[in-house]
Amino acid sequence: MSDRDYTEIMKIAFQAEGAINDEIRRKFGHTYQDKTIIIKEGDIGQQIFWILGGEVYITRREGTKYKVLNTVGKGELIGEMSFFDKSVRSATVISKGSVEALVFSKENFQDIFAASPQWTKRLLASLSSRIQFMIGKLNSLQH
Amino acid sequence: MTEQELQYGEQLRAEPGTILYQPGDAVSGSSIYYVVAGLVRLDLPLSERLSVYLHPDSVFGLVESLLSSPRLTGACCLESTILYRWDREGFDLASSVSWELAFNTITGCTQYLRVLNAEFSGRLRLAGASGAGKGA
Repeated sequence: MSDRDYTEIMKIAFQAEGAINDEIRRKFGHTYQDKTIIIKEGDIGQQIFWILGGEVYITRREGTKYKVLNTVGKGELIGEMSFFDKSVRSATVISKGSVEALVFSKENFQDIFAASPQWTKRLLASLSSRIQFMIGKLNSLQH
Repeated sequence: MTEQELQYGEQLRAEPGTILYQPGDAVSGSSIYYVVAGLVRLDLPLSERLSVYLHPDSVFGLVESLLSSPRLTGACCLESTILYRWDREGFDLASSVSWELAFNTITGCTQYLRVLNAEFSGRLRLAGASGAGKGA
């Protein structure tokens, strides 16, 4: 599964109705100033960032410079690959101007679940489809 | 697992070597499993077998149940194993009251996907290298 596919799955999950309310916003909302490093390539982290306002650069370090791979904004999720299953961060994310985001860690899963149990069901359905798809692709390699 | 979650399903004990299901089996009834204790192996029916080992707290058998598909893998108990199992409705109820169960299930799915992705990439690389060798 590519990073893009995974992001789509997580987006579906997080867009479940009632996933954000004022309490969630107060509890998990963060503001980042311009040019803040939000995620650092090579780090291990289990936080997921849901951008509520502003934009971020997705960059990868090449020598002493950062190459911008993409710019993402409101409604996008970042850091999702590490959220459920620990993995090494594959890119550096830097705020472009002021950025508002909800930041969830693994330990907050209970709060997210309480806010919207439905999104776990949507997420499981999406992940199941991806598993079936990948098994199909592995089978196709044999023929 | 708490009594709250357990009330929606049933417990079973399996001896080493017990085959819970095989690829292509139809899915019906209590088809979603949770490993309470012991060890289970999932086997993908490929030319070179691909196995995933499941330890306590793992959930399996869910994918086919959610997709209403025949079994995609086989499942075999490698040790004396205690399992818990639900039908689809029971699992939905249990996972809607237990964030731990929901979390374990999602984590298991993401880990399984990573294995499949890595295997696919690895086999593609091998196929590419072998093709390049033949071409040369």
